[in-house]
Amino acid sequence: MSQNKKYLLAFILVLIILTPLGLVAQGPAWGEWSVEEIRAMIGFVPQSIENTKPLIGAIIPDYEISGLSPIASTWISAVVGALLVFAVMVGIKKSVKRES
Amino acid sequence: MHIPDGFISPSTYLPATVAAIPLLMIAFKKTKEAINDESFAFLSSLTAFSFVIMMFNIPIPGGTSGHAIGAAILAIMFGPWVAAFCISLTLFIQALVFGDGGLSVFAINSLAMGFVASFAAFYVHKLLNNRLNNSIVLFLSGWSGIVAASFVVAVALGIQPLLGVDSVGHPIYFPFGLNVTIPAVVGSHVLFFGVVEGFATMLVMKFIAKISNQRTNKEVVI
Repeated sequence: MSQNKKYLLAFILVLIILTPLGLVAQGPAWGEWSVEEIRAMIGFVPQSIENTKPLIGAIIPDYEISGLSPIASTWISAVVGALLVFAVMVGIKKSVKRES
Repeated sequence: MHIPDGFISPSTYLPATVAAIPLLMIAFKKTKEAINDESFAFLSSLTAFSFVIMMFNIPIPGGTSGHAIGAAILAIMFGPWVAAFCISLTLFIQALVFGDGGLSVFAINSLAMGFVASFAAFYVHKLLNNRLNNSIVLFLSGWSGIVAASFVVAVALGIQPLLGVDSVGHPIYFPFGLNVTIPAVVGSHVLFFGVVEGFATMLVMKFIAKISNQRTNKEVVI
């Protein structure tokens, strides 16, 4: 592995190890409220927000894995996400090589 | 800034989807042109970086939180189209696997955080490069990219009360208008998350410059 790749990989790994720091934020992003939070805020839940279900249920909703601690869930989510990114990028690179 | 399902009227997300499809196809084509043995390590790591950095939720006054995107770094390194594709890939994985951002509104999230952030950051960088101190240019590229994206999200959310009201007069979609969304979403990005994106852009670009120089010195490539 080239020196660059080692540095980049180490950089991503360190960040993944630090991701549980993101758990200190208790509140959601502005606007990304749950149905309960919206009800508490304005006294009702707009129809579409109440009734729209996701097209496909998420595999790890909200980066939380039931039965695991928030920190472990966050680490697994970060690793899964990063690996999926690398997998898609490898796929694109291979498809380009095949085409050429 | 990841808009969930149900918050946005089809009259907004359907045109956004129609607009986003050809743009994503161009962005994908440009990414295929940019990807090779040499660029692969940076391209894939910086995309993974954008996924991971979005997990660092930072609390701000008022009980909400937010995060950096990492779009400016990709835009400066590989151009705005490639950056838009890479950020959109991250957003797609977030929506599909983690339910972070709705799949039905994926196009809006992709246009805002993928395209608008990348293009704004790229052109601010292009405009200011070599005219100001390099660190300041990098900071401003990151800051303007995320602030521009926040403006798109604020408008998409803020027009919803105009687009649907039920029989008792309650909004059907996102309930707050532009008078609330602009200060809340754009304001928080101007003051907080833009600063975070600015510093992230600056630090990561310096890190990249450092490891690239090291390699150049060691192997005497140039």
